[in-house]
Amino acid sequence: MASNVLELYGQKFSSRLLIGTARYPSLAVMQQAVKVSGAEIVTVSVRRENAGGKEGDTFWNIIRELGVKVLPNTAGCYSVEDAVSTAELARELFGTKWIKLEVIGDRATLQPDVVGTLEAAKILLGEGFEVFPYCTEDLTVAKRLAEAGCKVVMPWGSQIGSGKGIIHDEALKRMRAELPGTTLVIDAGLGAPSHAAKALEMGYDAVLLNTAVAGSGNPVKMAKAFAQAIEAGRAAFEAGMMKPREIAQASSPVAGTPFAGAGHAKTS
Amino acid sequence: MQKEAVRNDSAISLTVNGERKQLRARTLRELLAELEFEGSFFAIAVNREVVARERWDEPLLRDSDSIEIVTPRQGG
Repeated sequence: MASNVLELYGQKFSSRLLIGTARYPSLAVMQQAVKVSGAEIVTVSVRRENAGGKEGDTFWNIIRELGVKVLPNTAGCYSVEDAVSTAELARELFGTKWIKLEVIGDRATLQPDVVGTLEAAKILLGEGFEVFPYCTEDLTVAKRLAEAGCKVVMPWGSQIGSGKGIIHDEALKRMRAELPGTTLVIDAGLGAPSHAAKALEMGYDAVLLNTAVAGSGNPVKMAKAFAQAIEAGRAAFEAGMMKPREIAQASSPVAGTPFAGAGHAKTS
Repeated sequence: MQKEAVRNDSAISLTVNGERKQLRARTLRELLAELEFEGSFFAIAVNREVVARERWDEPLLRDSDSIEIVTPRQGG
């Protein structure tokens, strides 16, 4: 079914979960959780190698075994220059045009520097990258990113690693309505499977999460729970949910109700 | 770039992943060997310019160059 396919820069995926590879109790648990999640895309970072190449090789062999597509990030970059240079290193390393663009503006909240993000996105798009920008719920910024050529825009649900879920419902509903042609992914802040289901119910195309699974009591079990919630949320969106009402409306038919009109029973 | 007939192997000052070192390497392949890197999967930038693997045998390193050697790592 065409509507049940996630499209990212022309590539099609059946899973609507993009999953992070960090903060798991072990690499073995990470590998198992990714498998169970059904995710076809994982996020990775690039870091300075100081262990003679062994650290990177160990991690990379596990990712390769998973056979998933890699979305490298520019996590930890606080300037346009660093984000662009990191993206260029990631392209060379992984041989992909995809980049999850993060330009962070504040060390405490890890809030994106949306001005820097837009600037970096324009530079990278000009260099032929396919940019997945991490941004806030700000509609104007999302529109500017889309206008610049980002086919995917990734607003936060709430702060990275906070697990609070979607805290800007109205703004994110508006963004979905205003950008019908852009693939929108809720990235960051999700904690519970119900948060992911809500994102999909709202019409968001996918979710990107990491700590919600990696930091849970049982990452493999939680990966499955998220996969199911995402599937449920998407199915609900496709089915079309009922409009909420101000007052009650009986579910069961009123006509033919037994004892109707027979008066109240005596209670004593 | 002029190739020297005899390799000048006096040490130059290079900043590798933020650490200043005295090294003899002039090519990136020599640099990896001198630093005893054993892994196979790196990307390298010299003064912020990514240097493709095909150019790792070129004697492009100069005194006071800044080099970043990166590998894949866990990320969100």
